[in-house]
Amino acid sequence: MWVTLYNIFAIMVFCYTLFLLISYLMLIFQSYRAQNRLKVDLPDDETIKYLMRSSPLTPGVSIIAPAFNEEVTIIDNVNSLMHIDYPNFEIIIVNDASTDRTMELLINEYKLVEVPYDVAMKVPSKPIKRVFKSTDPRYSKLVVVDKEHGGRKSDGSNAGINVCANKYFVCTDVDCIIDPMALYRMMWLVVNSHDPMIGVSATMLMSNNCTVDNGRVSEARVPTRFFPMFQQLEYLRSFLIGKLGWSNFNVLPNISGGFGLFDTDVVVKSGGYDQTSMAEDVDMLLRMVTYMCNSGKPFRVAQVPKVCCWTEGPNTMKQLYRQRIRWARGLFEIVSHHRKLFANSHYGFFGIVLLPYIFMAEFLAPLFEGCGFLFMIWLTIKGGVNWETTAIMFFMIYLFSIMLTLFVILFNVVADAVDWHSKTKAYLTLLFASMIEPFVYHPFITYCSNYGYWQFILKTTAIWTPIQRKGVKKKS
Amino acid sequence: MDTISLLTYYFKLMWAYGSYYMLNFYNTFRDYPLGVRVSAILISVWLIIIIVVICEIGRQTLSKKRRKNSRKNIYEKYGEGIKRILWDSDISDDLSQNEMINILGIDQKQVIGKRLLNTYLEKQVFCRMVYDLIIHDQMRESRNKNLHQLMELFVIQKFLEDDVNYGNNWNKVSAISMLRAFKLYISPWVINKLLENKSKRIRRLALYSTVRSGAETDLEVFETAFFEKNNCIYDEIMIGYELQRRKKNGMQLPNLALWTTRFNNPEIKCMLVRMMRRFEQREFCPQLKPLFDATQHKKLVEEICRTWGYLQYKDSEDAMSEAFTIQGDDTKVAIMHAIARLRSGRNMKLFTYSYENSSNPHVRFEALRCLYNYGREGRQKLKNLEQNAEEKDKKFFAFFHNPITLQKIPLDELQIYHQTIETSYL
Repeated sequence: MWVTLYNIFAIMVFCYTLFLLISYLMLIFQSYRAQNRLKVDLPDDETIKYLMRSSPLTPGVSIIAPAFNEEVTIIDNVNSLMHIDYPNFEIIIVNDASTDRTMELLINEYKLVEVPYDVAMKVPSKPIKRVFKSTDPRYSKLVVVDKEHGGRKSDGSNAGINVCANKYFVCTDVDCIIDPMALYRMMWLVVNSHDPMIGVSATMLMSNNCTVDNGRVSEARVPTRFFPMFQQLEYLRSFLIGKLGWSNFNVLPNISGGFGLFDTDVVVKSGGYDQTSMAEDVDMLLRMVTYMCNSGKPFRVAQVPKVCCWTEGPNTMKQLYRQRIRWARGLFEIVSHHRKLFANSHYGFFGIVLLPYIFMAEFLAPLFEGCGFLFMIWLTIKGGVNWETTAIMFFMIYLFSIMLTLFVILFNVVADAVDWHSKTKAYLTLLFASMIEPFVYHPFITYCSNYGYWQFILKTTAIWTPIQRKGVKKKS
Repeated sequence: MDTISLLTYYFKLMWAYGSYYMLNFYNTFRDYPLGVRVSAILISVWLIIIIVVICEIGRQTLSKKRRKNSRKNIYEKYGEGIKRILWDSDISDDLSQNEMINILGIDQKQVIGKRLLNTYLEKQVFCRMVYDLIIHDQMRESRNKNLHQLMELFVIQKFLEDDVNYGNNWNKVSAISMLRAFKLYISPWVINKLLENKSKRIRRLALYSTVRSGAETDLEVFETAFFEKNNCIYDEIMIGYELQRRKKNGMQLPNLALWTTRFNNPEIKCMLVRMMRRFEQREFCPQLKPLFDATQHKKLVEEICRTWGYLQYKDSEDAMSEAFTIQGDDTKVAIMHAIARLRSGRNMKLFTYSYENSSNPHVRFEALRCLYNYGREGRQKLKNLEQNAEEKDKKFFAFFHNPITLQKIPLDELQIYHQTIETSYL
């Protein structure tokens, strides 16, 4: 009986592995197609700017950035947001009742005065206490909202949505460094879409080892610290292969909470961000899709391959551990909350293909890997491992992982996604990371994911702990 | 040995090596379980892919490097000279080719019987350089005659036409954009061919080119099923540019009101009505009346009202005030704005009615704004309303009067394109 069970498990794992490999190959192919399509449809930055800058039709965008206790970096970060190049945008900084000098610094630096706004609550958020605008015309684009403490980014984002006055908004973190051309690139896809574009995702990378000059990343580098380096690789794979590939089918697994553009009206009608969700970005996208499908309206989502935003990722193992546990809980939550969408043809490609894929490839993967690892230990103890077979199978997977990284590098070269300070060094670092990732980083992430699932099942109270930022290098 | 024989020979050689490898492979893993055999095959496949990808990375990198170097050379050689030819006010707009050669610092003897740009890459990079210079300096009109002479000197028209005809889609897009930016002639035959291209972007660019150059009647190319099905904001941006250029060149603009009858798609009708506003086609305003009466599309009614108001079409006021009560809130706001612009003095009651009876704060707020913009009489009414306002409405007025919120800007100064969504501030 044990032998039969063992054989069934082995066949399952083998078929599952083949499924993953085939799906990744399919995504690589689709990503390649998307790159070719975008080569024609998304012109270079200068042309986009030339065509959109002087048109009165260029749609307005509100940038919403919630902030909590950011006194160390708030002024630099707001200045960085002010450098964005776009003809029609406003910046909404939502102060989530910071206990430090964040608000005071903002008021002094930007000559803010309270204005008698009475905000209509279109989506739920904690009450807004005051709204500030600057008396200095240079900062006329800036709106600062002071609200009661909500404890979650989603609450701050909802408050920003309530104040936002444009047809589109970008949700970002206040510490993100946004590429000056980011809005042009994203809005180009919006203005060129026949069907309403409900969301645009943009490629994000780690700013951990980058040099920042005047609110812009002047020298882009791959992080040299252990954990950020692996995350950089992970982000590149996810954006340049995963999301870009899926965008070819007009679906996206998520629009990152760090930097994503949304249609304000659709977000409001979908109820805004869920303040209790651990994966509020995925949840938001799924609720928008649900709303559009239920109303029978056509829609589009898209991915910009060029890097539009830089964010500081967790530097230490502890921070990464917490973040990944939160992500795993979020994934479990999504799978359970949105189960009616799974394999449901009413929700089109999202329901039929993407969500079942997320369940199979994202949700089940850590479980399979965890079980496989335990099984391997048990077999080793029992002396039942054929090391030759194990080695050849492991080598196959290992080689595939390196191949994926090479594709990332190729797509990076083709799409000019990132202008690395030193290309050779960056690519070699990424290759090095991909070579050691299966031994070091991947088992750790698998453990975090399984532990996150376990916490969700036990219904342990989730605590949202913000990442301790170290700040980026500034050009002297 | 001819090429075919050589290729056949190499193919046979590869086949022999491949067969040998496969046979060897089969023998090595014959007795292993299925999993191992599949893994071994996959390893071979991955290795082949890895080699191909590495080669492609190298090829792409080299190609980019070559392009970068070529760009640098061309910029150093011609950049400054071209800037002078196109924008220097000391230089006339009627330079001969010889004068240009002198300005560009090219040795006359070397030019005779030779082309200035030899390789495809050089021509591409040169075009890109001129294109970049033009779009960088978009605010300054380049000197047309000099630009044309320059294009002739470097034989660019022929190069770009070849790219449009025979290049891949990326080259086609790039070439047609440049032809348009350099204001070079594009033959109708080429445009018609492009209008049948699979790529939407190429079809769009071809479509816009017809708007620029065609006679008014030729603009019927608008009526392609493609435009009806695929219109987007970008179309409006580009068609707006092209019509503006026509206007500047003294060419006749089409009767956009008439065009609204030729489309079924209400979004396109909205676009045309907005364009009427932009190009101030006052004389065609009455032609919108049948459309206003017939349509149920909220957005279209809103656009027609805004256009009538903006273009001061006074005969529309009764129709709008009659429709006011049955319309939704957004259309009500558009009607109020239009009536406030007309300032006939007959329908001020609509504003007070909206302020007092509407439950939507946005409508109430816009009613106040319209009163403010309705001359002395309106401002007096606004003052009365403020004096009698209940405590909960005080903030309403405070926001309106606050100088930082910029609520008191005249309606005429608001953008022609009313972009902001329903304002969230009372």
